[in-house]
Amino acid sequence: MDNLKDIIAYNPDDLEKLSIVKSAKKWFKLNLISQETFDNVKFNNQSNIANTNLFIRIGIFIFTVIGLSVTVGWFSLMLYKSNEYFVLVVNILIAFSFLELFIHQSQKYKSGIDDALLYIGLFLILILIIKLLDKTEPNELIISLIFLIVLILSALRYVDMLVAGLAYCCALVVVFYLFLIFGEVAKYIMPFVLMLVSAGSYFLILKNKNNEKLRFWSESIWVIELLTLITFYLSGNYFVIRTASEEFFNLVIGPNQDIPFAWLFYIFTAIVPLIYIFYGLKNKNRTLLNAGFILLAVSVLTFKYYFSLGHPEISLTIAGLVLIVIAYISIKYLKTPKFDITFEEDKSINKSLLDLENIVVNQSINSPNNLDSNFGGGDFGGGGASGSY
Amino acid sequence: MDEKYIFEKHFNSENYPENERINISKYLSNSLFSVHWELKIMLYLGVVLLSSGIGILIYKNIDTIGHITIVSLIALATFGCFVYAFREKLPYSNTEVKHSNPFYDYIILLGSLLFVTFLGYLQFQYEIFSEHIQYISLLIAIVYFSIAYLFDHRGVLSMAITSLSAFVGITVKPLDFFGSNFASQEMVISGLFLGLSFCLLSYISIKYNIKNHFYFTYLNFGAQLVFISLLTGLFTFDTKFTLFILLLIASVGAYKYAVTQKSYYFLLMGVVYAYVGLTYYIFHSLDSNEYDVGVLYFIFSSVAIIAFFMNFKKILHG
Repeated sequence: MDNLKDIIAYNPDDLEKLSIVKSAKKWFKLNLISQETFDNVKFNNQSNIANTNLFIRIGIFIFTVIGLSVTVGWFSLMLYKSNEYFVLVVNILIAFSFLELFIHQSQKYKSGIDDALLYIGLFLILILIIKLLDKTEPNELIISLIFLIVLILSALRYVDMLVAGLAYCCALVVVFYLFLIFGEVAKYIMPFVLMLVSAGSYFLILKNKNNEKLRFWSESIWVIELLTLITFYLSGNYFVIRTASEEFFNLVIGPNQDIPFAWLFYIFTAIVPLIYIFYGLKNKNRTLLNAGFILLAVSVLTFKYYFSLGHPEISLTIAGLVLIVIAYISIKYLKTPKFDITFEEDKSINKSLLDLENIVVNQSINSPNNLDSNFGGGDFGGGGASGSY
Repeated sequence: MDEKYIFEKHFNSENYPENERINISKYLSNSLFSVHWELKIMLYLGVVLLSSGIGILIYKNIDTIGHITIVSLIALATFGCFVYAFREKLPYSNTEVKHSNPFYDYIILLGSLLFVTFLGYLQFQYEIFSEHIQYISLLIAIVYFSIAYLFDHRGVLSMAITSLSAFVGITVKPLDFFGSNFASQEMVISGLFLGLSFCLLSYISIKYNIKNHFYFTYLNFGAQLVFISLLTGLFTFDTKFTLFILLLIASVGAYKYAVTQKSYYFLLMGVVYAYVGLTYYIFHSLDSNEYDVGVLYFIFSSVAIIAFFMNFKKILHG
C-alpha cells in the first residue's frame, strides 16, 4: 500500500502539482495570498500535464465517441464473420492501448479523449463478459462480480469519478445478487442488507477519506460518499421497495393490502431526509445537507404518488408557499449567524454550476499553467463583499 | 485533492509569507457554514412553484370562483410585488445594480410571472387579444424589457427575449405552427434577422455601456437563434448550397469572436453547428450506394476536430 499512487496511469506528482496550483488560484481569488506568492507557486509547481477546459473536454469527448463508434462498428462489421469474441477482444485491446499510449504521450489530464476511450473500453469489456459468462450459473452474480473488479481497477488507475461511482453501484448489485441465493427470505431482508452496506460504506469513507495515501482520489471518494447516502435512502424508500417487490419478486398486492412492514418503510421514507438535513446542519456537511433536501423532495413525491388527493395544482401552490415561507424565515433568522450558520455568501464555493452565464464567462483560457492568465471575466467581488447586509 | 492537505504539506513553511499563511489557516478553519445558495435556490423554486400552481388553479377553476375576485386578486398580487419593487429600487445606472436585499430579485420574478397569469386570465375571460393573439407576447416582451432594465434583472431579460421571439414566430407563422410544414421560409428568415438583432443589441450594450452585463444574454440567444435558423433552413429548403455557405460564415464569425474573447463556449458552438451542417450537406450530396465514403468521413473528420481542439491554445498563441 506504500506506493498506491503508482497504480495511476498519469504521473501522480504532476497531478499533485496541478492541485497545488488550483488551490493557490482559489486562495488568490479570495485575496488570501498576493500575486507574487501566487506566481511563485505557479513557477515552482509547473506540471507536465495540463487540465483541459470543460467545454473543450465535452467537445473532444463527443467527437472521440463519434469517431471511435464508427471505427469500432466498421471494424467489427468487417471481422464479424470470423469470431464474435475475437472482434470484441481486439477492440478492447485497441481501446486500452490507445488509452495508455495517449496518457503517456499527451501530457493532458482528462481531455475528453481519455474519458471517451476509457468509457467505450469499459463498455466493450462489459459486453465481452456478458457474452462469455451468460451461460454460467448464477450468471448475474458472476458477471457483476468480474465487472466490479474491472471497474475498481479502472477507477484506481485512471482516477475517474464516474467509474468510481459505477464501481460502488456495481458492488451493490453484487450484494443484491449474492443475497438472492438465499431464496425466499431474500425478499424480506434485502432492504436491510442494502441499507447496512450503504451505511457501512458511508462510515468507512468518513473514517478514511482524509488518509494521505488516498488524496489523489478525493473527488472519486466524494462521489461514492454521496452515492452511499442516496442508496441508503433508496434501500428503504417505500416506492422503491414496493415497485421492486411487485416487479422483481412478483408480489401481488390487493386493493387494501400493503407490502410487509409497510409502516416501517413509510417512517423510513419520511424520516431519513430529515435526519440528513439535521446532521448536515449540525456537522456543517454540505453533502449531507443537500442530499437531504433533494431526498426530501423525493419523499414528498413518493407520498404524493400513493396518497394523492388529486389536484396537483393545489400541491404546487402550497409547496411554493411553504418553500418561500421557510426560506424567508430562515433568511431573517440568520441575519446574524446562529449556531455557526450564516446566510452570508461563502465566496469560496464554486457557484459556476448555478449560473450558466458565469460558467461561460469564467471559462476563458484559464489554465493554471498559463503564466499570463488574466482569470477571465467573472465576478469575485473585488475584495469586499458585494450583496452583503 | 484536499485543500488542508495541500496547505499543510506544501504551503506551511518558511518559504511563504507568514501573514498569508495565517490568512489561509483562518480561512480553512472557518467555522461559519453558509447556507446562502441553498436558501436562494429554495426561494427560486418556491416562486416558480407558486406561480405555476396559481396559474393552473385559476385555469382549472375559472368557472367557479367569481371573475372579479380572481382578476382583483391576481392584479393585487402583481401590483403589490411591483409597488414593493419600486419602493426598494436603487437608482438606475448603466452599470450593474445589485440590490442588497436578497428577496428583491425574487419578488420581481414573482411579480413578472403573476403578470403573465393575469394577462392570460384577461385573454381567456374577456378575449382581449382574440384576433391577434401574438400581441400578448409582444406586450409581455415590452413589459419584461422595461422590468429588466428598470430593476436590473437578467432573468426577466431572458424571459423578455423569449417573449419577443415568440411574438415574431407567431406573427410570421400564425396557426400553422404545429401544422404541416415545420418551417417556412419566413420563419427561417425572421429567425435569422431576430438573432442578428439580438447580437447587435449585445454589441450596443457593450459599446455604449448600457447595462453591459446584459451582453451575454443577448449574444447567447442571438447566436443560437442564428445557427438554428440556418440549420433548419439547410434541412428543409432546396437552396442548400447558399444556406451552407451562410452557416459557414456564421461559424467563422463565432470562431473569430471566440478567439478575441477567449471564449471556449462560442468556439464549441461554431464548430458543432458547422459540423452538423457539413455532415448533413455531405450525406445529402451522396448517393445511397456511396455511403462507405460516409464512414471514412466520420473517422477523418472526428480526428481532425479532436486535433483542432487539442491544439487550440497553440494555434491561438502561435
